[in-house]
Amino acid sequence: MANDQPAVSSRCKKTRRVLRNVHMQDGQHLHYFVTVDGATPVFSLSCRHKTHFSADDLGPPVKNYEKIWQKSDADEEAGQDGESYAFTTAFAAALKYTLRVELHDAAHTRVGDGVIVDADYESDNPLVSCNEAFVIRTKP
Amino acid sequence: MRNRLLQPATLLFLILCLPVLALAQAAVPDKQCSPTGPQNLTDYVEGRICENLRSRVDQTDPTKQAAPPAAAANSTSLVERSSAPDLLGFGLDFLNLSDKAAGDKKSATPKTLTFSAYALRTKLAGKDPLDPKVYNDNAKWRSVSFTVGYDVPENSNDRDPVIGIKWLAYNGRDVSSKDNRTEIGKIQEALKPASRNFAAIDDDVRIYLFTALQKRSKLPAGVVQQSDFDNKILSPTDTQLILDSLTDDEKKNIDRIILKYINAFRTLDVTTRNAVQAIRTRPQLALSFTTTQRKGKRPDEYAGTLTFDKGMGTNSLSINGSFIMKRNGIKGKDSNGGQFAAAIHLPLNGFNPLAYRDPMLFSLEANGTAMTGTAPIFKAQAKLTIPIIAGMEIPISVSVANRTEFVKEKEVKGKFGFTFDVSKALKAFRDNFVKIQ
Repeated sequence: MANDQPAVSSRCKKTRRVLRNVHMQDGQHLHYFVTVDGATPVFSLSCRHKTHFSADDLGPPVKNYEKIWQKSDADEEAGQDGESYAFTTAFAAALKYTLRVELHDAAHTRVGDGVIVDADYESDNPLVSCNEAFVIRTKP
Repeated sequence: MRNRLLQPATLLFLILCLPVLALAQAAVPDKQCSPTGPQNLTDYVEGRICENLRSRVDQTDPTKQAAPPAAAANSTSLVERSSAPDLLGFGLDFLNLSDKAAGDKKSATPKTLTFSAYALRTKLAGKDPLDPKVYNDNAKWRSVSFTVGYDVPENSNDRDPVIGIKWLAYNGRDVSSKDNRTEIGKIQEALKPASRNFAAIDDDVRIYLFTALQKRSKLPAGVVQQSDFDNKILSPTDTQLILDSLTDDEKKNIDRIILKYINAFRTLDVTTRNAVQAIRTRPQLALSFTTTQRKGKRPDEYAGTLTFDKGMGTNSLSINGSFIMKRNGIKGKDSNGGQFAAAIHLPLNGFNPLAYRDPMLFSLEANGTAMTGTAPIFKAQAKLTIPIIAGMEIPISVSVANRTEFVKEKEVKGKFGFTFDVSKALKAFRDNFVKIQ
């Protein structure tokens, strides 16, 4: 789903170029790219069970973060039909985040057009946080 | 005659300001929780969480000065502040409302440009000033700023060069400092459970809506399985159709799901507010030197100033002490003296008639100047700073003085200016530029 018309609220301005759900196959992984403008990034990727990664887990503040997320990292339970993942950002010391999520095969090659998320989240209000959610399915 | 009219007008303005101030300072709820543009289910849920949390917090940092230095005769500030813009600031006083340069002609407009050593360094090195690593590695460069421009003496058209340097000797509000990184770390810790809970809400809401609409045979066209529905709720257009088809009870049930997980968002909100407040109320101490090179028979001025800022809740207090030298060269007598100034800045959070992103700022300022060979001058000023868009503000001020430098009579002046903070506006301009490209 491409949406170049930004959604603007007091929370943050979102510009979504691509946003879709993903069904991962064996041997595939998601490659997360997070780009930040500002002083100190604050963000997390979580499912309901746990936080999968956060800015503070990925080392000192930098502009570009990358994280490879394997299918085996998923927590989808037997009774679940896919699981929601939330990418949450805070703007206390940052102005803009760009999230890009790509579906890669085992050889780190993008699968098809393979872009799951490509979106900007921005705010000059240090008190707000902002969320993006999409569903990852890992069952055959 | 003009002064006679302006004096009662000033008093009236100040009297009217006081009761309005009490109301305007009151906390107000979040301006808007729901997106103004198209919204998908994530945006809708985010809006409902916001509506459920509704609590207003301070949005201002009133201490960054992009306006001309207070030393400039036509500045809309009587009191210098400790901070300068991180990158570049532009100050312009459009209109001296009580000017009388030559008959009815208005005098020239004073202009100053303030830029940080950090802005220069990153520009020359070809680095992105908004890169977190560059920002955090160069805190010392952000503590030094320069001001260049010219001042226009009262009632004249002369343009006297102004040059200044400011060193932020102690910056308690630098977000890259250890103490403030600890505060930001608290936000990160509070963000993790909020992020997990958002995923849980999204999970529960998408499954609830699919099940509820399936029971009522109201699933959108083409939707058979949960995965089809999950794709629909990413689209703002489809989401709007789904939301429009919901009953009041179904909408209430979404709120019930949200309320099950709301505590993590409340904690994040409070933690963020406390961290931002803690950072913004830390003290700052700056040393600055400014010189104005006057033309004609007017003396050159040199001023060394010590500035202290301290936040107090949502308000802030600035205090200055200056040593001033006026040099007449070989033609006249030199004079030395000092100036003491104080100001309190009050964000008007509760008064937002035009829905500005940031609140207006009301400032009460006063200074006293004593120089050898002249009687002391005392000035008081009320100023309203109106934000226009990100980084751009219009300051409007009314000041009263017991006398001016050159005329021994009371003076009341109105001024109207313009300030531009590039670091705040850069992001907006850059994004627009990218879109144009």
